[in-house]
Amino acid sequence: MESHITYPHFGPLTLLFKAILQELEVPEERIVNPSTPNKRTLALGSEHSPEWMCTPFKLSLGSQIECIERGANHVFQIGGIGTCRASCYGPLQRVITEDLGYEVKFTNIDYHLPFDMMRDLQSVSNNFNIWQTLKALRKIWVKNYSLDLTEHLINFYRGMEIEKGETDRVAKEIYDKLFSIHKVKEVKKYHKQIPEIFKEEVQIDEEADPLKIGIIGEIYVVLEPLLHLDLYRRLNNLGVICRNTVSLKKFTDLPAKLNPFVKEYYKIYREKARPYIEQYCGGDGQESVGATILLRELGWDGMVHIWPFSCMPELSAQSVIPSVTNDIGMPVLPLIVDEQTGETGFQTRLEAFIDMLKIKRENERNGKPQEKISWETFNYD
Amino acid sequence: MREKNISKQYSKRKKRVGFPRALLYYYFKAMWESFFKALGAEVVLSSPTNKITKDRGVLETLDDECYSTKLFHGHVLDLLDKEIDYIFVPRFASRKKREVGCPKFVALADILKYTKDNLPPIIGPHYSTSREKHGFWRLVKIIFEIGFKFTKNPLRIIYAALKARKDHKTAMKNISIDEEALKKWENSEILLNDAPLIEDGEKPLKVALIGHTYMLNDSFASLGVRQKLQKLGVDVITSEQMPRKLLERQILRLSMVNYGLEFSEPEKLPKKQLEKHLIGRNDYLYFEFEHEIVGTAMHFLENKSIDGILMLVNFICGPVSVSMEYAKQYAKKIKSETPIIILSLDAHTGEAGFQTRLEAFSDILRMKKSTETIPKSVKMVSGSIIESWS
Repeated sequence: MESHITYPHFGPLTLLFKAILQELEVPEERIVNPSTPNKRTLALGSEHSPEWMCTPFKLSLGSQIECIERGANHVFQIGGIGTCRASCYGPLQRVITEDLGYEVKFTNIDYHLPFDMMRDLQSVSNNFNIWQTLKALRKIWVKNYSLDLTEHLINFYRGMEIEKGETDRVAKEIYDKLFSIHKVKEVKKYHKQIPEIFKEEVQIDEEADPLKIGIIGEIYVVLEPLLHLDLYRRLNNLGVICRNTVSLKKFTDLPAKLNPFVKEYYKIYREKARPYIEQYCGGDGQESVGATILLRELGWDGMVHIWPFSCMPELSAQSVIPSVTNDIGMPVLPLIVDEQTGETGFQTRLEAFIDMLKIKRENERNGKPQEKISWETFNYD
Repeated sequence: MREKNISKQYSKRKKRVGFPRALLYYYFKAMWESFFKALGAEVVLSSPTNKITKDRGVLETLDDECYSTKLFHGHVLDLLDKEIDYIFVPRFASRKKREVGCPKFVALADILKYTKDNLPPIIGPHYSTSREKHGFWRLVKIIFEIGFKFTKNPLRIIYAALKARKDHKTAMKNISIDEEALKKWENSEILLNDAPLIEDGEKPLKVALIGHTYMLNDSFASLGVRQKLQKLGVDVITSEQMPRKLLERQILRLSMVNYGLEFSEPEKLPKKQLEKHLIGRNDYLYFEFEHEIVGTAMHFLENKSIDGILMLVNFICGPVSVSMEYAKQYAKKIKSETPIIILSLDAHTGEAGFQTRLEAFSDILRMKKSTETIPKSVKMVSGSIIESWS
């Protein structure tokens, strides 16, 4: 039987995985791409998941069931030996879909093992050898750099744009262009132009004095608009520029993983967090603490900590974050989301938090003139 | 002169090490206690869980922490009143290559450091075989690092470590039974616990009590479930008593195609054949403390040798949410006739409701065992119930 490949929806990873399968020359009729999830997807997933499981599991199960109903029978999902429940997703979803009566093959990818990951992808390709697979994958991690950069640029320009909607229009053009380029050299060339394009096309308010807020938390929720209820846009509309501190680079950045001289971004955060959480406690718990400390040193105004209900690593992080706040004076707003989070309460809390941050900044400045904000000072990578 | 004596006595006082009576303590108590005692330290335990412990713990932690962690914080607060020199909270991640504990165990020591005032120095060694690839030498390092805090004699440290290892092994052996004893128990030839209270001529019910060791052995947290079952005339086997080899075999079957139902002893298959039947290399339940939960449930669901399964879980425990689902799906898959009940406990569970549920469960099991004991009125009213039972 011919296999029809699908994969769970996971923020921008959906775009990347789509591109990987294209590069591996899998015929288009054999790929079932997950559609953008909505409330129905989440309801479908929660119906068939264990009650206490974390929300990302429920959403990815829902999006998978939708894909299977559209004809997919080979699922790529996270598996292997992890620290928290994230690596249980594949094995457990196999059991559940089996119970629902679908005949599906699961390939569970362990992202701790880059070579195994490559072999799994090679097995679905158009008879590629290892070298060809590596070349196809190379385009992906290079594109991921550009995706990350565009994401940060959007959240920077949208907070200060004069004409509303300008940034989104530019971003859409860039995404379209990015996924139509196939040569690595050209992607790299285009990558360097992206900040220029934004600078030329989006008019920003020069007088603006926006707050700078970092977003920390569990990676799936931070990257998935349905679960974080469009947190970035809400913050931007309140006149705040923001940036997330987690990235898919953690999984896709093979050259940094293999190169002993490059320090990956999350390792920097983890080192910062050592005095508070000494050892890796699963998920993004340590990174959340480390990013709070790092961004305070860079002079940011506040943090939003967002995690799904019953996430174990983020709970550990949240337990120490009040003392981090006391020690370094960085305000952190904790937000817990699950499938029943209401929008209004969410919005009210954000507005109150931002008002308080503004008062705090006024007191700290004490009449000093504001620093000029530009993309170069905002971007700390 | 007198003052000198007192100060001399004080300096000779044994150093006091505190263990919170919660979470990992229940798994490793024999090892830890004998190690620190052999080093010449005095072991101080927090008092058994009570209402004050619970209330203090609940106030101290975040709302969506699991019940057992809340109790842990209560125990630590209890210990702080007992004048201890050190508190022992290991950062335990894993002890086998492909298995991990709960991720919360790793951060417990750090959380304590930043949430409690007047905390004595924490002894919190980090040990992780699966992620950091720690091995024998890491263990040696940990042993000596701890040992030199109490004694200057390296031989004494080595003796303490060996003694702790031996004691741990014997304790594990004493707790778990072998497969022969399990068979005997299933055939009602022996009792594993104190004799249950039953009327003459009646046979005790056999129920498997499944849960984490730190729930089942904590009589306050589990609302005295063992004593309650004993009074209801039920003989229990707990998941920690199960033979280890049997549990590992069940977990191996879990990651095989069709749950490996065609193989009764998959570990005896030739390696090549075994690999053929495994689903994939990344399909494995890696939570170490869930093995006894899933393994026990699987064993009794397919053997039909006991009357029922009672699963006791603490509210919002992460790993249990996975193992619960495995157990449920397995029961569905093999269409098991053994009834299974899952009771979740948290800080607000009332004892009366719990008692009622246990009574109802044991009554239903009794009715199922012999249709004759069903009250006649029930027989008359609903014939359909009897059909499904017979």
